[in-house]
Amino acid sequence: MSLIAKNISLTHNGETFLDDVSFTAAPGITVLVGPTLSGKTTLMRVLAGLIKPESGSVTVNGVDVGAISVKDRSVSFVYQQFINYPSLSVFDNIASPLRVQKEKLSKEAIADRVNEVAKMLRITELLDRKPSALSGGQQQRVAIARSLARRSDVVLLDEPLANLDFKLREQLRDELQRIFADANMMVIYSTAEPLEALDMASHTIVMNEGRVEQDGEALDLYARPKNIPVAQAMSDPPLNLISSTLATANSESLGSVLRDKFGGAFTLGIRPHNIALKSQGAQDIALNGKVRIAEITGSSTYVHLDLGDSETIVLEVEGAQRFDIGSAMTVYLDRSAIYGFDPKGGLTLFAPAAVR
Amino acid sequence: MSKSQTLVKGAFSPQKKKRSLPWSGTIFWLVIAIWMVPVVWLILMSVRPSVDILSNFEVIPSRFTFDGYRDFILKDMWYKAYLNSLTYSTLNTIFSVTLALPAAYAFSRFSFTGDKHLFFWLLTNRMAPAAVFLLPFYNMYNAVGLFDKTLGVAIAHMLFNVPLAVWILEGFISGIPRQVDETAAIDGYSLPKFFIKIFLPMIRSGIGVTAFFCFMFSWVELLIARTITSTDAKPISAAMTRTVSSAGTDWTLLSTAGVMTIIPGVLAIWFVRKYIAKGFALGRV
Repeated sequence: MSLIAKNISLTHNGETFLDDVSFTAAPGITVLVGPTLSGKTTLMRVLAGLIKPESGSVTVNGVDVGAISVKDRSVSFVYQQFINYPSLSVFDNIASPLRVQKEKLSKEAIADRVNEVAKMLRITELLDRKPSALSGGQQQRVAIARSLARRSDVVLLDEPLANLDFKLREQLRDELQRIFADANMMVIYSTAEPLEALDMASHTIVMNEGRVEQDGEALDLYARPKNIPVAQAMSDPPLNLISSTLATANSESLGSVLRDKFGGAFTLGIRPHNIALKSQGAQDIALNGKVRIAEITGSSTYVHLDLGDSETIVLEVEGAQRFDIGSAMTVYLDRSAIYGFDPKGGLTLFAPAAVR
Repeated sequence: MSKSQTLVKGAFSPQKKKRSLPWSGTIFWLVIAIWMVPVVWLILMSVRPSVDILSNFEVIPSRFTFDGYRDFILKDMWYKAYLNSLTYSTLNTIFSVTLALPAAYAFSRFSFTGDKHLFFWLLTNRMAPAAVFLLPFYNMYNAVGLFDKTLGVAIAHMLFNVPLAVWILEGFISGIPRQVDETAAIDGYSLPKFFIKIFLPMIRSGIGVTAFFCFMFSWVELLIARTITSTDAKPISAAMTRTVSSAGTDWTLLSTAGVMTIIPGVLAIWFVRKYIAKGFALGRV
């Protein structure tokens, strides 16, 4: 079983939505990650057959599905908005694709199937209710249950957890992983959140501006991004980017280190948790700046540091701490965690040997 | 965890609730009372003898009679005219809504050549006075044998009710996310099946409101209905204009007809009362 997208391109009114997208998805979860407007939803809609691409093909289990109409495809789709049929009960919502599909199922078989998926998604006691009487999380559970009940070859989940609050999101994500782990279907899961991709720890495709930037294991993409967009898409909080000229001007020690070790101009990238307030050793690179904002998240504090020249870096400090806005501060970059990117084109020049 | 979540959301804002005015209850009932005067007067007239109506002014009738209602029910001209009006209004409502539903869906969901112009053109049909269409209708209906038929009136009224229905329904349909249509298609529904099983129940309040308007406009329309009918399909409103006989005007009977004419409207509002507020919020009129 496989889903193969080949050279899919789509432009509309001179705007490029998809640019030569190719990838292969095996049974299990494939995560599509990328910022908003990166083409994830458009790609999902092409995979579902809701829009026809200008060029390229989608092959599911060896069959080119390009000519098959949406309603005859073995595919299900879950939207970011909780889409259910408001006039039907939860039971009928989940049963509806089974009732209209070609191979007819008996009443008992449908009820069995509905109860099975309802149990999986823990909505058994809600089956008699109308979707409007449910909370957002429950509504999305119903939508996911409906997509599961059908046992289609391809399940498309378009940012299914984006409209849920943080706690629900984590809980449902764990459940989804468990449910889809042994399901024999190709699940394409799109998200704008790097942490979701890392948490899923499966095959991940990074999209940006309608292109597939990189394709691989989530952790590999995190550790060795091909370019800046991939590094950004896989980092939350965002990766700090500092031009090497500014770094040199700011800190002589950094300047000399950079020149000696890597030579030439490049964009330096470092994750907020690899910057410390205290020097961890002689190898650290010092940077000077002024505190702009400090955001306290509870377990840690994010300090935005003004480096001058309108460049800012963010560092993560453990615990809730108070910082005076405008005060000068010296921070230390862990040299072994530095990324280097080509300032033209953003390709990765060097990456840390080990993820930290 | 994304950092933005720690920012304080929903800062203090002044109460959104409207201020309640003193005496509003009293004023409300006063306004209602003033508004109801003509209606109550009409009802009182309908139970007074014709002679009394003309001779003396009194708020509480001194003599009661139900002759008006008896005559209305028993006299051919009256109850037939009433049934005629009911028939063509109902037919018109069914036709208009049935025809407008797919049209409104198309206007809401698809883009096609001239869609915007067509939508506007539909509305312009309502801008012309009904009198403009009298002559063509009269002439055509005589030619095709629709003259003096309730079906003919029902079709003629579609001229202004279909645009209205399309306009209202389009608002309701556009209020339903397109993703619902797509989900249904992905689930395996064909368009007709989706439309009947999923979509119609979703916009039933819109359909209720639309049907209400179609019925009411058809019910109160006089000019076209009177012109393209003579005896067999004469509407109640036309009958009411022809009450002068050699014995003078029967005021009691005329008032009774008035009361009876209000009843369908009251019933229609009663049936859609639950939807109507919701309907106006969702759709646009």
